[in-house]
Amino acid sequence: MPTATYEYISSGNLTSGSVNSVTFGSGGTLTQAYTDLVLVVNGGASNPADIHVRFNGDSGANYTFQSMAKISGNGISGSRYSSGTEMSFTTNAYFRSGFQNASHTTITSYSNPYINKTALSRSTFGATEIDLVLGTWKNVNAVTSMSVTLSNSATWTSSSTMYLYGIKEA
Amino acid sequence: MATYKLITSYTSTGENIITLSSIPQTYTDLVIKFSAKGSANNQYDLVRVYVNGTSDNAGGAVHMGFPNYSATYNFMNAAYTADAANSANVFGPIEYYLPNYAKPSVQKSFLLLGGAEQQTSSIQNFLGGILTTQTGAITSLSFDGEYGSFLNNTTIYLYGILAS
Repeated sequence: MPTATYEYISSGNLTSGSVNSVTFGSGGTLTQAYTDLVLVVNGGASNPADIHVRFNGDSGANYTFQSMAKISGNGISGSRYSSGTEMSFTTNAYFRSGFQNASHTTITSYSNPYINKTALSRSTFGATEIDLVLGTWKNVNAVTSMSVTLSNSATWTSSSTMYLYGIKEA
Repeated sequence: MATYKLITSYTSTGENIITLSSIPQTYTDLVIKFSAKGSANNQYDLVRVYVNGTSDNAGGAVHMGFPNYSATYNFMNAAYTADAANSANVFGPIEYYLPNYAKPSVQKSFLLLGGAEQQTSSIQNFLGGILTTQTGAITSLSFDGEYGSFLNNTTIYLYGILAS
């Protein structure tokens, strides 16, 4: 029997329709048992909003991220954000009401104490917007907590789901 | 507990359409790993996706990396196959990610990622998204090419991911 390497860790409870932020590993309790993390978000938001993330509660200007995006029939565009106080997993594929967005992010080597932490996200807003975002948290500490927040004070629609998985080095 | 499991696999013997039916409703998300080659010569072939046997249920799609792609297309162009004019062993990889495929009363979204080679001089990488207008649980998925059939050894692996 092969060893399981892709496992469910936790989920955000968004069913109330009034949640703005979810924290995985509150108080620094996020499991360190895996090599990579995968966050899958599917749903909408009360008003147009991006997914913003902070690791270990760090609100300093320690995040860099860059995106490659396409909006409707326009060409591909790129953007870079340096010295952000949070990382954005979406930049153009906004979550909004009335539609189900999808976003898939891999956070690689999140517990490795020798490297800055990186996240690679791909997201779609229905039929009109997609983006690919690479983000870096300029910190070598293991990720022990992760807050996932909608910008613009938006709240997740009640049909939204958020699941965190771990991938274990075989 | 393993949460990422193979549900089924399929190897083409030259079909026009491939259908994955009776998809179990016991998982949270689906992942489809597709290695595709089409019979159309000197052009990419569009892989179209049909959810639950319907062809007119697409809310639309947008892709990054497809030449001349229009977001106004109202059918589910979901990827390109490798061109048949390539050498026999050139196939195009495609991954589909379908969150909450069994959840009732919500629109179903797809994330796509892949690439395809047109002969030996051109490669297209793509990132895409699809929003269907269908809100029921997905119980079957069919794939066909706009211009041709799938060639032998085109493979599909369907995985289920369980969030519990």
